[in-house]
Amino acid sequence: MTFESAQNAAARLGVTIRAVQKWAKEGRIPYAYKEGQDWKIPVSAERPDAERFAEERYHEPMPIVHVFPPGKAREYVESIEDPHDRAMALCEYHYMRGEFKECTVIAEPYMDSENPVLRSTSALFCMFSNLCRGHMVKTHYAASVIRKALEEVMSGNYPKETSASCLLCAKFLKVQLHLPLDDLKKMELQMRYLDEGVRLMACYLLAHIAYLEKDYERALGIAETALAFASEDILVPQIYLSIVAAMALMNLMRVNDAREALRYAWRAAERDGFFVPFVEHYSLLQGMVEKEFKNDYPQELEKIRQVAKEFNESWYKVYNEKSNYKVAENLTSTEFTVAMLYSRNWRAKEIAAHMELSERTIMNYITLIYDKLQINSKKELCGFMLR
Amino acid sequence: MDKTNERIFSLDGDTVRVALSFDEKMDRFVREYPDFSIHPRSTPAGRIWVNVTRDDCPFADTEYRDCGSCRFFLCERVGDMIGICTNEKTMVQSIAQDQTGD
Repeated sequence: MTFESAQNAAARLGVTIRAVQKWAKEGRIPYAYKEGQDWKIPVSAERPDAERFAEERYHEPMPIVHVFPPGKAREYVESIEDPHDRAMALCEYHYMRGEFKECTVIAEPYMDSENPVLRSTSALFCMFSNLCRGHMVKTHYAASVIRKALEEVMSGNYPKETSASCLLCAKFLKVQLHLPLDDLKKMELQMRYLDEGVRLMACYLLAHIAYLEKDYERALGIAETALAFASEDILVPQIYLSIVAAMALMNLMRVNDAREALRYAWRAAERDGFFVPFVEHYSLLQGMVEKEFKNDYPQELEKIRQVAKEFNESWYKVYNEKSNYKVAENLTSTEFTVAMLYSRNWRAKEIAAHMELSERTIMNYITLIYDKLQINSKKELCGFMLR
Repeated sequence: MDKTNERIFSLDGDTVRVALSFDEKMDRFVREYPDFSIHPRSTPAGRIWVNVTRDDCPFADTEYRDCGSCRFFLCERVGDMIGICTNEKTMVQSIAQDQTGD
């Protein structure tokens, strides 16, 4: 029988040296023995906790970015053999199509899974689905499941892929919902342990972080670079990356390029009806969805508007219980668009040209928005609006 | 539209009347604020009336560029949509009163 050091065994098994020493001391590695201060481990030794994951093992650490072939997402989902993988793929499929009830029915049982990645992933789908439905208690509960899964993997002996996936789920909480999370490790350091699709979603989050920090050039750079490297059939991250590129371009006042990025995102999404990313970013796209979809996709626009209203109202409830809630509730979609653009220092004349309305109409809208929000300055308006 | 209510804005010795009317399209009451960029008006002392939404003032003392955020903007009550500019650089000879307020 051939033996190796604890250090080599740890590298081979994907765990820490301390974990190997602990297992050996507890007698959980057959034939391991101590020579002086060092443990000798059989090179054929397996992880003693391997059977814990056997029932729920899946290939992709975070199945949120299944390789959906464009136009054939449903067929792809049905073809997945592993039942847990298929379940998560179905969750993603339903969520992207705005079928939130169907998504939560499948995802909720997995929030009790032994596997922290399955728990985190299913909780992420539940959280956003319930947010879109206005079910705030369930939204907060799902967020707590994600937090606890992260705490568990950070304090336990889990493979790096597992902790990277759970960290990514937690990052969604922080970046998209602005929920407080302490001591999140730098996501960039963990990305190397993720599969391509998941890594692309991590790039989307990095671009979004840069956007929130108003570093629009950087956000655009990250998005464009990630898109350049993306495989054609990894559909969902391409949609999100194109959308964040459009957001950055709007803030750089490159409106035509922003429209092109948005059209690219829609071309990727429309064949499978994946309209929810446009709901999630409806406000941040500053009226572009209204303008681009009004003539060519009126039905889809109406669907996006309806879900976006609920999403925004719920988002504000999570983000700020008090003052911001009345923004989403009181303003129509057009008023909201005008408010977003005006708060980004667009002049009334520029908003009028962008929305194909008269300048006088835009001034009337702004006055009406101020009246509804009981404010009288752009400074106060900026305090309300999403960043 | 029925003129069911009116508010009188009084500042610096001048008054502007703004009617409140019901807009059927919006299904709510709205105030018919004058647009001072089209119909300029000033007080007897030469201070100009401005709308809070005006955003092209070269003397704006704020990064937000609108009169509502500027420290020189003076309104009768907090939250008013019109007021006067107290910046001496914008003072004019008193503009003959038009019919917007009287």
